[in-house]
Amino acid sequence: MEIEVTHREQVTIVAIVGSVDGLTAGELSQSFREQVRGGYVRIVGDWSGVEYTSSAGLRALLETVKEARQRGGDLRLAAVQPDVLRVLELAGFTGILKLFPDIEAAVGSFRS
Amino acid sequence: MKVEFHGEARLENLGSVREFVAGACRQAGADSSFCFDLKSAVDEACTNIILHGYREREPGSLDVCFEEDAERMVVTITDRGRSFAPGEIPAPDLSSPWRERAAGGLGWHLIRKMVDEVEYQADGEKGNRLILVKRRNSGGRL
Amino acid sequence: MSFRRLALVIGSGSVKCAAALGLLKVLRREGITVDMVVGCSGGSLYAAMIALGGGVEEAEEKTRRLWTREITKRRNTKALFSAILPRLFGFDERFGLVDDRMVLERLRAAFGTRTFQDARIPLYLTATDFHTGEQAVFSSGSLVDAVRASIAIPYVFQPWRIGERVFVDGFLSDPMPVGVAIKEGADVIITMGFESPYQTRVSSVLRFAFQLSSITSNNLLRANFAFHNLAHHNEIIPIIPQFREPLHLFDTDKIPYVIEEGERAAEQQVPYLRKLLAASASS
Repeated sequence: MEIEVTHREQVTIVAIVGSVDGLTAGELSQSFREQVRGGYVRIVGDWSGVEYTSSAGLRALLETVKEARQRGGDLRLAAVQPDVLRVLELAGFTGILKLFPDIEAAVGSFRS
Repeated sequence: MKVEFHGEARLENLGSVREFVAGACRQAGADSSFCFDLKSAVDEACTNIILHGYREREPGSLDVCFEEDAERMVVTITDRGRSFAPGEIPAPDLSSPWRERAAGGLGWHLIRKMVDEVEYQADGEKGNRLILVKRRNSGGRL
Repeated sequence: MSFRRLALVIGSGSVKCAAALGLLKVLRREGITVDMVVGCSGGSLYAAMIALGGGVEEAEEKTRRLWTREITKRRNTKALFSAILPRLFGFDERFGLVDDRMVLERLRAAFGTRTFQDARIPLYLTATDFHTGEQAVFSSGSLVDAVRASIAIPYVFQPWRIGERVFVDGFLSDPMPVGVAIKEGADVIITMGFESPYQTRVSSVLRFAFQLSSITSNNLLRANFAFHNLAHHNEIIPIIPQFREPLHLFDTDKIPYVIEEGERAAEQQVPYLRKLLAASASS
């Protein structure tokens, strides 16, 4: 799993390529945590390259979204693949997290 | 068709297990959604075994056996770690509230949603067997 | 630096939802402003009225005029025929035993042509997509449409079509949509939800159906509430009025009593609420 962090318009984009599972979720959590603690609390998770997310990945997402929101920010997801989207739905995460079809829309959502 | 995967119970092997299951499943003629669900369930189960079954122990064996017939695909996961107590594998009870049980709760919920039957046999000698059954006609999505 | 958004969530519960007006009375008295409202089913009526900015007395009066037994008086005969002879009369998803013209008239009398734009604070009303089962959240467009969709009680009022989609009662996807408040950036959430009543005498097919429906929705309410508590980064304060007597769908005459109980339940939470909001303001 590879993580790439970029910044655009006051928003931090964390792009992930690969699978977020029991092995790699910790690394992802760590990366997100660094951003949040560094004050970058408006985060877009670019999920276009994520082919699989297990419950470990979901927990990392939940941890991060809560931390970001506690600091007045948010974590939003962009371009979640259909199979992975289904996992998010089954776990009830689509009801508590904002999802967007692409990065532009996700970044744009922070504008208002 | 029957194929087996033998490996060590390490998180590093999760990717290989997933590839193994997805590959076997596709070969058996299921569509990609079906294979995704089955591989997800197996991944979640193996993760639990690795993290809990072998917690504070040397990583032991983790064997995954894939079998199929006209009606269903069956994946049997065998390990020699600590057995799960009956209460640790949450029953498919829709009325029980969400509870994160030692980082496994959400995983079991997903397993129940992704496959049709889950059976667990704990045996000190022969090892623990977790059997996941997914019926072909139930389709790829819930 | 960081302000705290206070959200009010009003779940399904027909006349019991009027307790939200009691809660509102208390909040106003304490000078606590609500930044966002979410409503489901019966709760959507009150959520809309609160968001439009009316006073408590006005809202009480409006509900009394709107929600009476008369709105379920007229039978939808076509639906009855289509239930018995589906092929001959054509049966589709828009099935409801009650003629909905009266409820529509009343909704229009209450909300007119007003839209979500007229709300003074962000307003979200939930319904359920009849075909996919997903929760549908309305935050724009006609208020009458959204409320009508939200209160489309199964078997009673036929599901409501808006554009290409057909909607049914919000309680089917989540009787108390706290998740919407979480998603939309609320910090402290006050939520009022009600368990569906269980039938005392199962004396008809409809009562049998309602009993099953109550069983599922109560389990859904509890499961979702537990999940939302785990998923939220801040406090969710449930306000649970205690009603000493059973309240039925159209016990509109009991509304003053319901509001009182809402006030009582809200008052109990005020000290804690104040502490939370004060703590947030200083962080």
